[in-house]
Amino acid sequence: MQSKQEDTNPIETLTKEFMAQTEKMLKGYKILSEVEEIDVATAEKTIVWQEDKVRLFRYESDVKKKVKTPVLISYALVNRFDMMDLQPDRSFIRKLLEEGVDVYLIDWGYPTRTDRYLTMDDYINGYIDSCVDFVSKETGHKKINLMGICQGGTFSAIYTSLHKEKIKNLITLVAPFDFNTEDGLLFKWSRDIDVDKIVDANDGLVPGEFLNMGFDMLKPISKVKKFVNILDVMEDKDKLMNFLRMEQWVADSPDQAGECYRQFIKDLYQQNKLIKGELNIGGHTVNLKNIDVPVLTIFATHDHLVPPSATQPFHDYISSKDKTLYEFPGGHIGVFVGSRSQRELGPKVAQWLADHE
Amino acid sequence: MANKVMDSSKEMLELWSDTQQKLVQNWVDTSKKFQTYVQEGKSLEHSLDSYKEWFDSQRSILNEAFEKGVAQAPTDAMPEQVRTWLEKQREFTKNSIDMMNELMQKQMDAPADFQKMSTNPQEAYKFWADYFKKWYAQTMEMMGGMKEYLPSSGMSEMYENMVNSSKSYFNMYEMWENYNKMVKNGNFDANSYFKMFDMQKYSSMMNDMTKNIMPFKFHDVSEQANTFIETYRNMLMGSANQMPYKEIWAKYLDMVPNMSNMMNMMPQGGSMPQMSEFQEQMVSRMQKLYAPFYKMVPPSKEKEMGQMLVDMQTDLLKYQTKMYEMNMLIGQAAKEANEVLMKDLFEAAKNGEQPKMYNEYFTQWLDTLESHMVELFKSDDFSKVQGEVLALQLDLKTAVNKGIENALSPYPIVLNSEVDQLTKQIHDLKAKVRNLEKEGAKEEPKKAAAPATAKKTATTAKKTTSSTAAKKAADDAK
Repeated sequence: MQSKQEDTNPIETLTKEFMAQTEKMLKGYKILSEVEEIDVATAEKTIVWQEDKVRLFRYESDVKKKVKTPVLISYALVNRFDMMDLQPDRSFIRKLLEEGVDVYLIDWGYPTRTDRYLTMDDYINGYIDSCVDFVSKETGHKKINLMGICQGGTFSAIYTSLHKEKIKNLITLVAPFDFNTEDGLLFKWSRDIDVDKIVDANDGLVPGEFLNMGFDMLKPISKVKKFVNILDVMEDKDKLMNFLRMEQWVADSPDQAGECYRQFIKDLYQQNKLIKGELNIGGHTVNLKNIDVPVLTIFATHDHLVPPSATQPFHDYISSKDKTLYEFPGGHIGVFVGSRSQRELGPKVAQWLADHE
Repeated sequence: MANKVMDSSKEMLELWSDTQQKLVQNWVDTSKKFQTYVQEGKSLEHSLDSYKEWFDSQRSILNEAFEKGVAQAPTDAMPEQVRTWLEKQREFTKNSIDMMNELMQKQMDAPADFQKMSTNPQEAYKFWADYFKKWYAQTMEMMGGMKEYLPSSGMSEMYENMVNSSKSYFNMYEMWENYNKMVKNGNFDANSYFKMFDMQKYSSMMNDMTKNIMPFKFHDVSEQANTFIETYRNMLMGSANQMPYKEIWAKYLDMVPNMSNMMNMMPQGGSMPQMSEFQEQMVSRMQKLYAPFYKMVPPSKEKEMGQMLVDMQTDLLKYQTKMYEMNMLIGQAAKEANEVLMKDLFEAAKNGEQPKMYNEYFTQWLDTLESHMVELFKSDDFSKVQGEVLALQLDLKTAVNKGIENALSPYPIVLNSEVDQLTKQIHDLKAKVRNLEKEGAKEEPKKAAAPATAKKTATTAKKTTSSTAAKKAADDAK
């Protein structure tokens, strides 16, 4: 509460504060008008496979491969994978490439109304399976490594339990498995929403905006705080670009295929069927006990989107003997873009993969 | 040419910014000097001199700005957008200058006012503060308008967010003012503060801050539903098919809007759940009252739509009631946050700590507000009412969508529902093809193995035949 001794002449305070804010905004406006493009996800990659709107990328790298078995990354359907390669000095993907990992990534694209009937079965037994088969065939590895991020981690675990013969190692980052927790607001709120109405009223395509507003409400004043603080960095173009890239990623929220969303909320968030062993995907019951491959599960201690209590129980339900639970200090996004992630997490994941070749 | 245009735009911006800075600095310097005179008891003898100095400085700053600001940019070669932007800059600068001239003229015409202000610093402060706020409002409006000239929608949205959050920054200043005054006068008292506190303005500011984070932009859907109801009502009343039943229609369709006026009959001090129950009872009674007349209208698409409109209007009322309930919860949390903040600040002042400068106050308010909002969001009550509001909103959306489809059905266009049927068929077929492909892929290794086995059998059989034939031939030769 201590504040420095300053002249509290109200006119001076008033005018100085106003002028300082206005000047900062003007400087910010100047820099903004000079910026032509906000570049994200710039690591070199090639499209190697495509079906409907889903694309599979292979990342280019001159670094000698230390991990021969390729890694297929399955990101969440919510938001875009760009966050894993936000900018050159904050890129989890670039870090993996530097460590000699062969990286493939699934880009889910931007669903439209014609995709409204896509189900979890389509995504898991359809697209993910096709990508796994492609990578397997192209690289000549009968089994490959599968890495799932957030909801992608949930999907990856479900896939592994149904197709473990194709998976060598499973890695999940900040993924929810046990939805019976009161620790996260999303988990709480999901129990009081009518997901059928959300899907049907939006003609089968849940708007990305709707999801973003839900995420914003988890930290309701952050938007105001963020922009008050940003005025202080307006003069530094690099810092401003960092901010702009993050904002671009946050705003880039694809719509969700309604049937997949419906099942994900009903069966997982509301009824917790995955942990209970009652989840049915494409006519098959998902049994986590089928997962007996080596597993690395990473969670963030201050994750307000996927609290640790939603991730940690995963290991109690799989039958893998070789399983590692890794606690990363930080938030849901910090796991990928924080400086500690660059120094620590990328190399750790690469080392774990190398140890499990 | 592009560089020349950019350079002259930047120069214009810098000129405008520098001019504003100089004008304000002039005010600040004058007020500092004047305060010293007041403290020394010399305000009367120095007031006119102070004023004259200030006036001369202001005029010289403005004249200089005017001379530099005359258009030197090659406007002929500029793209339309840049020309418009430059025009806006000039317009704003001109408006600022006109405002200043008006103020100065006012002062020149009424020196007695200034004399009065010079003996009453509080009034002088209020005068300048009011004037500055007017300038600020104009600045914010102009800054908001500048966003459309930014290169991409991402950046203009970012800039708009910046301007909006600055608005909340400045809005809170008024609340800090009252606190600051009380602390300086040593008569801080939480109860007296809250008596001075403008809850209406605070609520309005909170609404502005929270409206863009509430799920689904509630008021947009509400407006959309209202517009649809009104438009379709008019169409229905104008429909030739319904002419014989126009009076019945009018009564039926007016039922719900009239009912909302009857909400005033609600007992004073009633709660939101009571209001909701009252409303439902009234609607139900009204529908029973008009049902016999409504039966006279023959079955038709219009009748279906009419029923839909009535249902929509009742849903709209329910939604608005529930929405009000949710806003009350949020308003209550915001009010509590402010109370906690004030109590903390007053406690700190009582313990002899220095009063907070505005920036620290604003940051503390944001932190306190956020913690209260999160506590509210964690509560079962909020989660429940949020779910209810969302459901009602989505009902309205569904009704509007259905209504629009009904309205468009006579026209030669493909409706969404028809496209959805095709999409479903395509999806199901694709799923079948995928399953067949995967089964086929499993079968391939088996098929690859099968021809090899058959070939081996054929070769063995051929050899046997040949050797048998050879032996026979040999035997025959013997």
